[in-house]
Amino acid sequence: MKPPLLVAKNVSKHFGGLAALSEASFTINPGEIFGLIGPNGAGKTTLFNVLTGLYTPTSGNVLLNGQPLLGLKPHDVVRLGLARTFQNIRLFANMTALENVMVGRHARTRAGILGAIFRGSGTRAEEADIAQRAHALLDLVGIAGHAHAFAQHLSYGDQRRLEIARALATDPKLLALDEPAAGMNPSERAGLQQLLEKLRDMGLTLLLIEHDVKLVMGLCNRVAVLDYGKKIAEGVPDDVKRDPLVIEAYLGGPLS
Amino acid sequence: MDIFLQQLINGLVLGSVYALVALGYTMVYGILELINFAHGEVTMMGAMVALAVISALAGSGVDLPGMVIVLLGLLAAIPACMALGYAIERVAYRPLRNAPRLAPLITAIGVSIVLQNVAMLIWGRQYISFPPILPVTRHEIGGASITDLQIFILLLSCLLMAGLVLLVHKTKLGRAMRATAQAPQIAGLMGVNINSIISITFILGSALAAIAGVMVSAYYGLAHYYMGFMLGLKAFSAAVLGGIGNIAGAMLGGLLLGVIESLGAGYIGDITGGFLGSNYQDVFAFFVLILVLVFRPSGLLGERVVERA
Amino acid sequence: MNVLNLKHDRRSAWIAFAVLGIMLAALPFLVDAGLGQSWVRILDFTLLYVMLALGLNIVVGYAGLLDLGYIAFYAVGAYLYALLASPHFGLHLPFWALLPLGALVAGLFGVMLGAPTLRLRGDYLAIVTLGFGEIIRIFLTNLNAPINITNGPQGVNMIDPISIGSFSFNQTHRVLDISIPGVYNYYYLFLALAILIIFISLRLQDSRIGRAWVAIREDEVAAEAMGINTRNVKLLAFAMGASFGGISGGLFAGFQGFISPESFNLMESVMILCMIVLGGMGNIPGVILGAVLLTVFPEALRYIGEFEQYALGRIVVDPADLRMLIFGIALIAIMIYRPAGLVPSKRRRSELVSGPDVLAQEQASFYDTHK
Repeated sequence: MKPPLLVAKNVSKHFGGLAALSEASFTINPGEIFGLIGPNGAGKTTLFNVLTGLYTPTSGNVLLNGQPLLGLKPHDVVRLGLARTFQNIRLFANMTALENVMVGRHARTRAGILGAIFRGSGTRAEEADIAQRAHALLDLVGIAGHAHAFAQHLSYGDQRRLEIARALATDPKLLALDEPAAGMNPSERAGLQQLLEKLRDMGLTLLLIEHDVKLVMGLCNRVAVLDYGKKIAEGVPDDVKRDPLVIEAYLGGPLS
Repeated sequence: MDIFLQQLINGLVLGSVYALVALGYTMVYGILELINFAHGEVTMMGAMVALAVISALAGSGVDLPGMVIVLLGLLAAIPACMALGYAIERVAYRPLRNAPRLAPLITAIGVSIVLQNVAMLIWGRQYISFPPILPVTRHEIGGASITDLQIFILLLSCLLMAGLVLLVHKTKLGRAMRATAQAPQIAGLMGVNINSIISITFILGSALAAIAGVMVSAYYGLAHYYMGFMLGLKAFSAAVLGGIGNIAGAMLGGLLLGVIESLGAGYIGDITGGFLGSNYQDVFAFFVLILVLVFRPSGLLGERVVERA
Repeated sequence: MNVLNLKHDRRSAWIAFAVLGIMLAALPFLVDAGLGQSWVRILDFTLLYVMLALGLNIVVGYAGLLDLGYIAFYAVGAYLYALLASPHFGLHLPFWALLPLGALVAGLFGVMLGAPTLRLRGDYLAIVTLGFGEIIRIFLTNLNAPINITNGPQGVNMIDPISIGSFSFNQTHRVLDISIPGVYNYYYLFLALAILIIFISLRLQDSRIGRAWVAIREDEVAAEAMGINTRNVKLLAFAMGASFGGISGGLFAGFQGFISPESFNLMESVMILCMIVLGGMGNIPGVILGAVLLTVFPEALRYIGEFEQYALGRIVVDPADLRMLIFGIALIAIMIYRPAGLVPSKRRRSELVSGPDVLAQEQASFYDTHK
């Protein structure tokens, strides 16, 4: 058994009097697809924002590969190996798909002002590598043909794929996806599932917020359920599905 | 303590003028999230128009008391500024309501330049003096003095501010304004005519600006086509200090800034051992602005804004 | 595309460059012959403004940070040069040391002035930078007592002209029997430096840092979430832009021979902003065009004055007064009718145009034709 990739202990986030997250703890193992589900307002995106450094947590700690994660700035979180996509798609609208993915390489490359101006052999090699990897990633997610289109002109499904490609460019150990299937039709959903399974097969670990229960059950190795900021269940989908607390949270009361 | 009280009085008078102008900035920002760069110039126009009327009347030998002449000047300036404020919004800001934020900011700078230069072309580059038609009686209070004009400015400002607060909190129009400021689309769905409310906001702010402009020119005894720039910047700093978008904040910020500036100018020589003098007075407002924006961008009375992913 | 065509394109590009080069080299002679030597001086100032506009273009055009106090860096460069190469302190450092020093010091000021603004949003950023610009001007005007640093409102004069060894740029020299006056010398010097700055701008645009700047401009939160240290990258933009201003400032001081705080006011900052807004933000040819138009235009306005004198016997409206008025109207008109500028970059056009047919168009062109 390999050591867990991410260990979260008692993570809390309060906004004034509102406890958006309350002592949430869970573990993510390497190579698995981990689902985070719960009713609307349960605190899933808040958890994402805390993990990725967009929010400062009120308390708790998180270790990614043994390194403390909380309190780091977002760009340092990326360095450590955690990348994300956004619920509302935040692409660089007026950059091409290729450029969007190239930006993702920023944290793993070094050329600065002097490199930009003098463009020595090191910088040129780095730029060539960035472009090549970006093309490969676009190919991996299936939008290689749109490399030179502006991101805002892509179809909705393609934009979601582009966001994934961009996040992959940061060479993450853990890829966190915030509702990647939202707004997709069934065939797009199937394509996404295929892509995510492919990524898992390549050795990546995935953390997924999703509402589509079928997708989550079919895709995720393990699942955690949040309700009102608290984690109420964690385990394999089949077990969690039957947990009475979970059923109550979703349906408002126990099944009679 | 010798100059403290005097500087305090001066500061409060100055501050109430800043407050009147700051209200215009804060109301527009509250509704449009736009810094109306040209607002200082509207204030200047108010002063210039009023002064033109006042000079004409004073010079023509008409036998009217000074206060009445000033009032007539105000009666000319207020509608002029209201029309100007309305026109600016329609011509320069409304077409850009959905443009990226850079655009209306640049247009606002353009409007500001246009107004300054129109004023310069009409009234020339020289300082224009305020005719000495107002009584200059001083009253002594505890070692400091206060003039009739200063008392008048303080009283009128208080009245106007009270009136505005009443308007915003106790009337249907005020309710519509507050709703538009918080959630324009929803207010629209509830039957509020957003465009009208926005126009009214500009008109109200400009009216206050006109009065402030006349006060400033009466207080300093002159007006000038470039006077709007500094005044506008300082009033804006005051609005930010109090919490931009917040009406009470604009009033508080204005008074505070006036006092800070006045006390600062009075004491800066002592504080810096003679290195800096009161000629650095204008710098105070900038420093306040920068400090507030860096350390407490929501201002004294504003709410904290959290960016959601 | 045919391989033959590709070669042909390369060759025509070289020919175009050669022609351009010859025209630029001959320009001062042509202008002098056609319009008089005063216009060569205007040409020199145009080049200074091209450098300034390209500097501001990095801050506003690339990184999207609206700096309304940019002229402060011009002032820093100019005063540094003036104070270290004039009788004021009795120092006479050479220009090839002062220019890099000016770039460095201005860059530092860029970081200093930029640092407090990093968390501010567009409009606030603009006001704060405007405030900084004014603060610098006020200090320059007042730092003459109790210790005289800047010589106050009178400014610094008798600044050493630029010279390399015994070659003074102010003097007329004879080359191959052709007489080359001072203004020509400065033209070639400024042209060389302007070309250098254009080159640096091009390199920056197409680099990792350049992409990071655009990403920040597009969506700062997403940029940070993709691993960009937005704080440092923004400071880099301020520093680079400021350094260009510092270089131009030093050249200005050496060229003009005297400087005063009044040359470094808000209207100058606004003017430079105008140049890049009018020309096309973020787009190097557009910015150059904007700089040329806005430097030449006020000079051309003088002819209106002469025309008025000729046609009406007197000056009805002083054209100098009209200059800023027309600028203001132009600013408003451009933002409403053509916000991407005269020569918009493809990116800016994309900000305004959208639709499925555009996507089809872009897919059809397989070669990287943008930028």
